Amino acid sequence: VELLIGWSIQALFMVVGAMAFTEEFFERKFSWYLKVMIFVIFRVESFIFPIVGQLSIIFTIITWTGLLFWQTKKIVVNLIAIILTVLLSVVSSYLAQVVVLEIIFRIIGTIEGVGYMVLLQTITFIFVVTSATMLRKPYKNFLSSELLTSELLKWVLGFLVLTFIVFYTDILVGAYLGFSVYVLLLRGIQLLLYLLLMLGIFYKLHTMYKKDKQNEIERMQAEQQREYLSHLETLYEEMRGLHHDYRNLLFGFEGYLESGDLDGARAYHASNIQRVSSALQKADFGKSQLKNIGIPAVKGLLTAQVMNAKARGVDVKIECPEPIDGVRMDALDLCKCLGIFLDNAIEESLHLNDPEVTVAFMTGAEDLWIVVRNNCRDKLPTVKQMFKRGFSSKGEGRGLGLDNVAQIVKRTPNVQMETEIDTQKFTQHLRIYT
Amino acid sequence: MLEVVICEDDLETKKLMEETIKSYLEFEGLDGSVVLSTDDPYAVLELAKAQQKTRLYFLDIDLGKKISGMELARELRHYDPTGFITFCTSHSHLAYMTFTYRISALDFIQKGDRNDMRKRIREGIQVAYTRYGYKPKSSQRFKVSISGSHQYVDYADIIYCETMTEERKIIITTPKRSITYVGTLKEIVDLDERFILCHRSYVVNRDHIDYVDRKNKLVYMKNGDTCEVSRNGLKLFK
Repeated sequence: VELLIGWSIQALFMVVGAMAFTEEFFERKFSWYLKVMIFVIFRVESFIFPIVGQLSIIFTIITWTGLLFWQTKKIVVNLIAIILTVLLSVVSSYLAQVVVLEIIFRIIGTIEGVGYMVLLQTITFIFVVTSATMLRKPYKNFLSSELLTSELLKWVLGFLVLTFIVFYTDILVGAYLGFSVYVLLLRGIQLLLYLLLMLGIFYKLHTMYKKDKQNEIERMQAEQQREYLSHLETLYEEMRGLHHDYRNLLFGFEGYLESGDLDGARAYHASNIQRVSSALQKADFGKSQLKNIGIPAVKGLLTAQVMNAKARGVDVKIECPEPIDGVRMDALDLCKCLGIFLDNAIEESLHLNDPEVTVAFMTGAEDLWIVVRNNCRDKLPTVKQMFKRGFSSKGEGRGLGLDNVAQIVKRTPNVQMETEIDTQKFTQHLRIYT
Repeated sequence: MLEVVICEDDLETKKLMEETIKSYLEFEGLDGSVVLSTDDPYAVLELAKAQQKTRLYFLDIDLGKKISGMELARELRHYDPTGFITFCTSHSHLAYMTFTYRISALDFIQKGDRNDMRKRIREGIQVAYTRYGYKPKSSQRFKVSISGSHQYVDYADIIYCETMTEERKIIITTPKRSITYVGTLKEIVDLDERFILCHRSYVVNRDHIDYVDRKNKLVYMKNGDTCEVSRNGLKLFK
């Protein structure tokens, strides 16, 4: 009877703990029937346990994964979350045993039977919930990190499965050989250290990978800055050329005026000055508004994109009538959004006879309003379809674009986004509020 | 009566504008007149301040004064938020989008070809006059506002809304636009009975539903998008 009550309590605690854990991990609330199902799984497990021993955990993992797969249609992520849950609850229960046997019993004396069960499970439960809350944020970051590839996910899963096997062979062998409680406790601590070590190594690898990416981005930015400088140089040369032309023209004009040859002057004006003037109007000085953008990363990106577009026969106009020194958004995030918008705009322009791409930075009293507008084809998918993960008009596997933007907008509270599709005009608005 | 205001420092252009506007109003028999023609932007502001009403403005961008055409327009917008502003400029202007979006400019008239200028001025009057007389139907509009900046969306245009789980952001989808902003679905549901909360994170407009797929628990909207429906949500579609 004692055992039965103990198991029931454990099952109940496990459900609450597991839910706290998996819910935190999945960021979605379970509906009531899922909760009941999970409880049932644990009840069944506690019945199987006396028969097959520790192996019953495998039953739990399989049914649990199946349940969540049925709900979310994802397997790798679910397996990771569940194995992580199980591992942490195993470690928690070891730790709880240490705490109960070594600390609490020393203080208040030994308790047996149901009381012991309840105490043990409560402490396990506390450990589970605390570790779940603590791990929630890094886990979330990990899942939403753009470095996350399905390959990396599989590596993580492999590592977790391996750890799981190590843990359980240890427990099984331990139980088989009949170690004393203290040896088991020692094992628990060893396993905990092992888990921490593995997590540490993994974390280190992850940060190294991230740093590598960061370096690459910085290198690209430096490259873009260099391109911008060389672009300015050509612009300067062009200006000098024009200056020179103009001076010569005026000298010529002066000659006509001095000799009083008005008809000659008129003809000269018509044939030369007007030509140079219109050349001057057409000259590509619009880009000089780029000078008003005081965020180096953004400036570099725009220069690179403008030149890249030009090489593909698309003119990109940049408007920035007033200087911008800073922006209340992570510069890298902003660059990512702009880069994706521009990539799409340029890509779309290649399909058109009259491409037109304009980027405008409009400062205001309470916001910076960025508009990227381009001409587009008649038949475009709806905005929702465009923002779907993996969507691309260019075919499978190239669509990691707009959904990244959506992610960034999602996690930046002061940014509003608007997408507009009107008769052959596609417009993206990004408003960053200060 | 549609009041027209001209602010232009080039005398030639000013004269051309006055004449074109007057003759066009007369010729078409429109109820309107030029109430102010000046080169002083502050006079324009004073007029707008003194008598707040919807007017049609022709403003030079480069006024050669302390205040530029853009600043003038921005100030004007405080007193005349619905007025029609047309800009004149001598060079193809660099800040076209800024004027279009920030100031909601009606048009840009390029100085130079006089015939073209006349044509554009007439078009400007025509557009302003038609819109001036147009009273929006007492249609219900939803105000999307963030940090004091507002946009209006007609109820009828809202196809559906969805939430982004974190940060309390919602996305409103209309036939032409998709707006992401900080808000709640409840605000939308409470607006009108045509809005149905069919899922924890979706509100659909009854009028835009194509059909309901009960088996897969999806609502197909007329624009081709789909929204999820919860079990309870299904009961709302009878």
